[in-house]
Amino acid sequence: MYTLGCMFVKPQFHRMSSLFREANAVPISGLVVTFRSSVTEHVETVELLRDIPEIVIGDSVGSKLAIVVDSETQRRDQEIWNTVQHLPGVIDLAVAMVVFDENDPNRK
Amino acid sequence: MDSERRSFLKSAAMVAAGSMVHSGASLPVLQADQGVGELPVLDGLSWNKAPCRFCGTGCHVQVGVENGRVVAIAGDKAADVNKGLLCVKGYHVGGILYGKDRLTRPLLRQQDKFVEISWDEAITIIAQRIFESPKTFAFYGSGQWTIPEGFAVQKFMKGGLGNNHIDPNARLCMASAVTGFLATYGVDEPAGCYQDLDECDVLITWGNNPAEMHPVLFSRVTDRRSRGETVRIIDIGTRRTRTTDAATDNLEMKPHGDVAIALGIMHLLIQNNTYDKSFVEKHCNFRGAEADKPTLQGEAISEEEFRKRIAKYTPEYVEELSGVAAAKIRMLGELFGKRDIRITSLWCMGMNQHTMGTAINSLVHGVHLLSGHFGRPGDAPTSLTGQPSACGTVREVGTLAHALPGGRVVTKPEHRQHCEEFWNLRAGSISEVPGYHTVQMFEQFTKPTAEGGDITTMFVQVTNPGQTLPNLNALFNGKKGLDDKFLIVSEVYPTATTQLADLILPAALWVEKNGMFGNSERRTQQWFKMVSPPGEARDDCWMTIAIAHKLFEMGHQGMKDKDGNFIFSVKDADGKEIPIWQFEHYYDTNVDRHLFEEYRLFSTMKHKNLAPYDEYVKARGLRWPVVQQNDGSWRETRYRFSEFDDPFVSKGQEFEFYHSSSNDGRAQIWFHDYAPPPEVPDEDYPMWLCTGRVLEHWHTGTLTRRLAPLNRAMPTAYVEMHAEDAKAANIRQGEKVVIESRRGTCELPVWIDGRGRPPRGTLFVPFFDETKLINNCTLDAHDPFSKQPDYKKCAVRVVKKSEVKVPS
Repeated sequence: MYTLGCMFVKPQFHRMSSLFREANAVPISGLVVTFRSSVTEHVETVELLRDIPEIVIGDSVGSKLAIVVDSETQRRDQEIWNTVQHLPGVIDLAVAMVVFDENDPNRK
Repeated sequence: MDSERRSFLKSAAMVAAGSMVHSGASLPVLQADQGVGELPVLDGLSWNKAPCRFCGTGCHVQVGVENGRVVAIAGDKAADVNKGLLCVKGYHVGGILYGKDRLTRPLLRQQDKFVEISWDEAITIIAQRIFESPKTFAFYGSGQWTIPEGFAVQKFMKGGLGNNHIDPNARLCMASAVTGFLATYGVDEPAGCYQDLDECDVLITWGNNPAEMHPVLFSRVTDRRSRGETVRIIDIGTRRTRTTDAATDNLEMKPHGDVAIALGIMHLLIQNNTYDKSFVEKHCNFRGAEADKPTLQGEAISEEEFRKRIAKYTPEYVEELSGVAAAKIRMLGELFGKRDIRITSLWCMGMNQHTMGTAINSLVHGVHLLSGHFGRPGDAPTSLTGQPSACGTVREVGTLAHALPGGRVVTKPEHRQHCEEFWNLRAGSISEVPGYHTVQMFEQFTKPTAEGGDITTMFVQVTNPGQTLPNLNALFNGKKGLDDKFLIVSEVYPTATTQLADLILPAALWVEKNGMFGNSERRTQQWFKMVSPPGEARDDCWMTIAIAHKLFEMGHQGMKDKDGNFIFSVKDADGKEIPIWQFEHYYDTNVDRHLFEEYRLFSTMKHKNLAPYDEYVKARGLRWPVVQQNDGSWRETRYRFSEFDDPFVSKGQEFEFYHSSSNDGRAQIWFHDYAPPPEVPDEDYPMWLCTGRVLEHWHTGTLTRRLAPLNRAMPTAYVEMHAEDAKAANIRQGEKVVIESRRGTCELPVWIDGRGRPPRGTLFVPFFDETKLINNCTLDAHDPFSKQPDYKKCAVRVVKKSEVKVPS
């Protein structure tokens, strides 16, 4: 990123920046997993999803399954995405909603 | 965030995902009356609509606001454009407001430092520079200007200062689409709409990668396939992309090959007698460029002459020019010759950033007209735009150096007179001389004044030319060391452009202000301010009005109308002036509504009729022309020039091109001869370079690079290279190389057989990464009509970083 901070006479930005939260917080994502065929034919993959502690499994209709991912770190978030996308029978992973505000100082 | 709240938000996310699952997520069958009602309800959390801030698709989002902050984004199911879906950028759009390095105070350069100054000081500095030399001032904007912002700048520059040096970055992305529409139909913008994607049997992508650049639109087509419909996708391009992966056919062409392919299709339609004789006889003329001084008007040619000129473009000759096998050209010719299928063509930068941009745009329109694949749902030549209001602000408001609002041009006395009357200005206020287009404007700004560089002050709003101009070393970096040149930049974050700025103004962004956009299908969209901008960041529109008022106070006659009133005067119900030039009073009224209602007067001449502002408040956008019905309601138009939908087509005509440049209700089928690109690979620079975008980032990455999930997914620019080319040059995967052209260099890691797969002899580099400025290398040669530069082809060489020669 370009930065102008080093060029300031008064480092006003540093004072102001504390007012803002960063955009790179970890989002909670509501996702839709699409399987090659009916979800009921992919029981083992659904179990693999259940084994991921950050994932909550929701409703399924036909080949689509609703899940929510709530991870602690961005790296973990990315790992989960990569994992889900490559699970057997999964042909698509789509976002339904992202809640990206994050204000918990205890979170990493 | 406490655990209860987080638990709630997880539930909300699950509701949204479950809703998509239960709806079947089949786009066209989702009903447009769902939406806000299904969004999570929580004390203090409010939802409101806004168009996405990124591309020209015009998806609507629902923005969740709590305690004055945007906290959630959801797709808007009530929006016809996206029916609740969003792409990965759209879902993260709320985060663009909260990058930690937002600009929050006006900053003035003093030697090598920036000093914080007050807004009043900043406005005064700008006004003084303009007052001292109004004719050497230029305003450079973009297709990200909202409609009211662009309209205010138009009025300020052309009406107030009598200065036409205003141009947008859209000159770099869709100017050739404009000239193509004008040359063919006599009026700009697509006749069809996104419904074409739901109804076509064949989708042809011409140098276009909608799977990454307009993913929500492309999903309308792939979704049909997932429901068992047959849609044939034919991808014509110079490299394989994610769109190619979904395509039925891939026609890999040489750069400029599209011109030959379009000519080849027309040749076959004529030769095989499969063109639509009835449509052509009733609704079309033939046209060719004048031999001595070509214009967009061209000259009439007979069908016989057209047949004569097109005769040489046999499939074999087209194969020679384009690299696409003659059999595939015949396949296209046969498809267009069929009357029982519907064909939609899509294009964007590939055909527009082209030194034959106007020609190839006109030719593809011509293919559709000649074959009669026009004007029915699914039969359409459709250009897409890359910015959210390239259509609404640039093309309709007319923020181009030659244009005036509502399809008018500065060179026509009657058009200038209309504007002067609408604006209540003295006759002769508007100059008849077109201003500088983008390349000229920056040439003049970076040329020393003593050598004739007659732009001395430039105001850049909502764009980043320090990264997007072609041939950056000449057109932008030349500003360095020119002490009498003054660059003002209104921005939200530090960019390549602010690096050379003399004055930086912190801007409000997206839902930090009221706004209106116009998307690629003629849809005008509105949103309200939902949160406050950080620090002292302010609306771009306010900046323009405040500068105008400062000039008014200084006695600049152009800032007064015929009656001596301030040209942006807004009065309350009691007739008392509201001081909107003072930011604390800017939101005492809805300035957008005032400006839009004024702009609406301009819209009827070219039948781009707009509804009152309040109609857009209620809707998820309306496609013009929007015409009031007998019952008082307002009706939008999906298909222009088609009797079944367009209220301006005469009864019984079926089709009518009522702004025909030949004044006979007909469209023009153009002939343009193929010409080679201006720069081709040679012994010194043996590779083609093509530039473009990626899914995760929007344009120069100013916004998306600050969104960690997107930046993590695509953290750096790269050069795509064919495996055989890499092997021949002994270059490994990920190795750093230097791309060199005659104009500059750019260091990049190599991605072999990556997301895009260029053919041998071709490289591709995305331009989103400000640390790897590929536009150091690109060419500023441009189309003769649209003045749009060609970013898609120039000659370069690849040098291993370890072998780069350091100049002695």
